[in-house]
Amino acid sequence: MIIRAALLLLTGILLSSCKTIDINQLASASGTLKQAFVPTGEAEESDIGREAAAVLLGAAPLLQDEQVQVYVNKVGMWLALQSDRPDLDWRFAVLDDADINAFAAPGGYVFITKGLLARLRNESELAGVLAHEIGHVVASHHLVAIRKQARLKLAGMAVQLALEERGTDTRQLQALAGGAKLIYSRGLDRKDEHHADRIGVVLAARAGYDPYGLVTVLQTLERMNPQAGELGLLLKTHPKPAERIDQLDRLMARQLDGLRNSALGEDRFRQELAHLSNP
Amino acid sequence: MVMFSLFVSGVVAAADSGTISTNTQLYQQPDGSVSGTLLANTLVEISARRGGWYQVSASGGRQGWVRLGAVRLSGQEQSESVFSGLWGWLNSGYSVQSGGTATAGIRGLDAGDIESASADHGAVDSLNRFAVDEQAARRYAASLPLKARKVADLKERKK
Repeated sequence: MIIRAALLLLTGILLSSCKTIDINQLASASGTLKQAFVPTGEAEESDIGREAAAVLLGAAPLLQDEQVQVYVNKVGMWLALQSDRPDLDWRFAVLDDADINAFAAPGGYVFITKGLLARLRNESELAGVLAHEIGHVVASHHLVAIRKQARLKLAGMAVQLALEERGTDTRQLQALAGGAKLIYSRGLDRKDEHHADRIGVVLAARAGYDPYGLVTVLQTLERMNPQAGELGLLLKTHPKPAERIDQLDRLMARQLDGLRNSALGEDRFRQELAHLSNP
Repeated sequence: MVMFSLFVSGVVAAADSGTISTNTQLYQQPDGSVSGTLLANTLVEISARRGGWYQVSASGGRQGWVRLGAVRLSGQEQSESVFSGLWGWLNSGYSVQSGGTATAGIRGLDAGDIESASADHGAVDSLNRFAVDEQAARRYAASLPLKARKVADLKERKK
């Protein structure tokens, strides 16, 4: 109803004042549109996440290997159970892509590329990566960023929308998908990445893993040639690995070094992926 | 289907080396007493890791433990990944079948791919078939064994 009212208002403005459009009035209507179009409730998070996940899966296909997919879901779900949002519909997946990266989407979607999985050495490293992404979800980093971008897009589209008779749902999904594309291609605020790092190492520690799994993954990335193509998007969208290592190491030295009996899960990691060895 | 091979164990690959990134203290044991200082750019050989510490040896016979964050690993990764046999495949023209569509495995996911992507809702729905429930995750964790423990949130340092 609010949407229709805002559209009617905008249309009215445009039709009744073809020569002298009242910018303030237009802005006000646009503001109403912004509020109306983009879901804001927690119940809508999964809808936004579904659209964001669809964008990612439209860019890179799923790895066609059920055992590996189920494996990352078992590890990921155990980590998610240690978070503040254990009841989300968590979905973990490996993308069939050679680049080194991982992604999260609102509502509990977590993706890791085959290229990154291929460079991990044990389950604690996998846990570190997945837990960093879980951190993005529980802190609503992408939800807030995508919602903001979608609203901006809708505001920009407002006049055009008022003159068209396309379905509201379609416009909303287009704006959300557009927002997701922008966030995934340009990256979150860098402080969100550091925040997800801090959450990630704690979740891994709570789950019983060596909390340094994420740090050793970052060291692996750090030693790679930054000009290597497979690191392109990750380095473009994240703080430098060295900076992330330094921040984590300083905090972890004081707060996480007393943990005992942390697991690496090296053997299990190997076993779960052994079928991918040379045929 | 996919070529992965050459499992190599070790938290840090044998004979891994690195460079000290900033002047750092050398300890006799992790959190033990300080035995000296390693200057920035000192080359070290890493023999072990214990938590957030690397056991290192430097020129002149100096040995001890330093914080993990003080070492920048050097050189290209060799055979440390369980997937080291995958490198050739990742960089080759190997292609995989996905949903009936041949997808080149050469070039990775870049910003352009994301910006031009068409949302694939069917693929999102297909994730359900891999999902596991809480009980399955708990059983799997217990089998390693992993045991949940209480750990406080990491507090960001005030600047």
